[in-house]
Amino acid sequence: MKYFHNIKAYLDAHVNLRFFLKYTFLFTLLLLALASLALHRIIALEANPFFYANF
Amino acid sequence: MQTSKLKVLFTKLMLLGFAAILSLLLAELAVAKVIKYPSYGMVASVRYRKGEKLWGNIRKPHAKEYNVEGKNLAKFNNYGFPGIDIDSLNKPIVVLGSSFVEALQYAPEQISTSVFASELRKRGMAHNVMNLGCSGHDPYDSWFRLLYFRETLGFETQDVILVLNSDNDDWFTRHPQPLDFSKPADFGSVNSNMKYKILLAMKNFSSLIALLTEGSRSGETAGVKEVESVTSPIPPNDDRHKESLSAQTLACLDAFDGAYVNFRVLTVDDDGCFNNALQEYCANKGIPLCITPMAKPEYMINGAGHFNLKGNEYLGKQLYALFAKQDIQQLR
Repeated sequence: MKYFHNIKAYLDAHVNLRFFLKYTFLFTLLLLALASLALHRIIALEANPFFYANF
Repeated sequence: MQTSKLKVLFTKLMLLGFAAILSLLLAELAVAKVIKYPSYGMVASVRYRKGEKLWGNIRKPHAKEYNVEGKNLAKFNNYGFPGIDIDSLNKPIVVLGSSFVEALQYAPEQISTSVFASELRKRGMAHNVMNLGCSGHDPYDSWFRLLYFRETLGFETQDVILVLNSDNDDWFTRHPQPLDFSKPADFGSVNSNMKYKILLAMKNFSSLIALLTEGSRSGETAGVKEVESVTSPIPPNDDRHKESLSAQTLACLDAFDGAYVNFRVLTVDDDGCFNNALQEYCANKGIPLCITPMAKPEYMINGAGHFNLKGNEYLGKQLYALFAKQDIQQLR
């Protein structure tokens, strides 16, 4: 808890760093979400048993 | 006052830019190292197949590809082909076919051509086996694929085994008719489309970009290298039986037989009529043939996909049997 308060106080004192970290986190989250969607799309399509079969 | 506001805005924009760059690096790290999705691993897309929009992708040595069906990371050898590494290009045995020969579902040493190479080595035969199987390739495509690699890698061979997994009638319609086996004027030309080249460079550089572009492909072709490779070319045992081989199949077999002294054919199709017609043709021409119907659930992933481990091992042994001209065991 003490560490958390220390970090918060540090970030409150350094507005630009806080801004930078916030957007780094958000952009990373966005990119990982897009990557997850892409991977899901590939897996869902190819995992379909009819994908490789010509029934 | 105005200058101060501009300065703050500029700082924020700079920080946003740095944040975007760092997040790209972090996401790349997560995709490449945690998910282990590989970068694209292609040298270029070249024109060696005849037909509209039929480009052939040439892989880099030791490239990797994410394969859902086999739940593995397919690895290519030192020449960018499926299977184990090749020591030398001195008269290799070339195996041609479609995705059933390519077999990206398993580790390089587990696929049929590697089993074939291992069988040769066990008996002291120092031949290298080159797997030129490629998804979506019919025998006509395979003719040009072999020609392309013979020219670019500068090797010669007389030992060619063509693996047929269907009559390929649907796939033959992709090509200009009648089939012409001469090299086209643009043979081997590299796709020089600037948009393609930039995207290729980015996909080769970054696993994240490779994943996003593969996943964002539209509709049914997402995650697939080429449109024609979507479906398995082993059709069910339905009413497609024909008493004779198609003109395109005959043209391909004639071309291979005329160009390569030790040309052999192996069919894994379960169409008895097609196999009988093939047997008659090969007997007349003196082409060694192995009939190994393998469109059976026990040899296929989930009973309907590409060959499973058992199927690959069996096919590898049948390839050896055909090469060594041993008694060919038929499954029927």
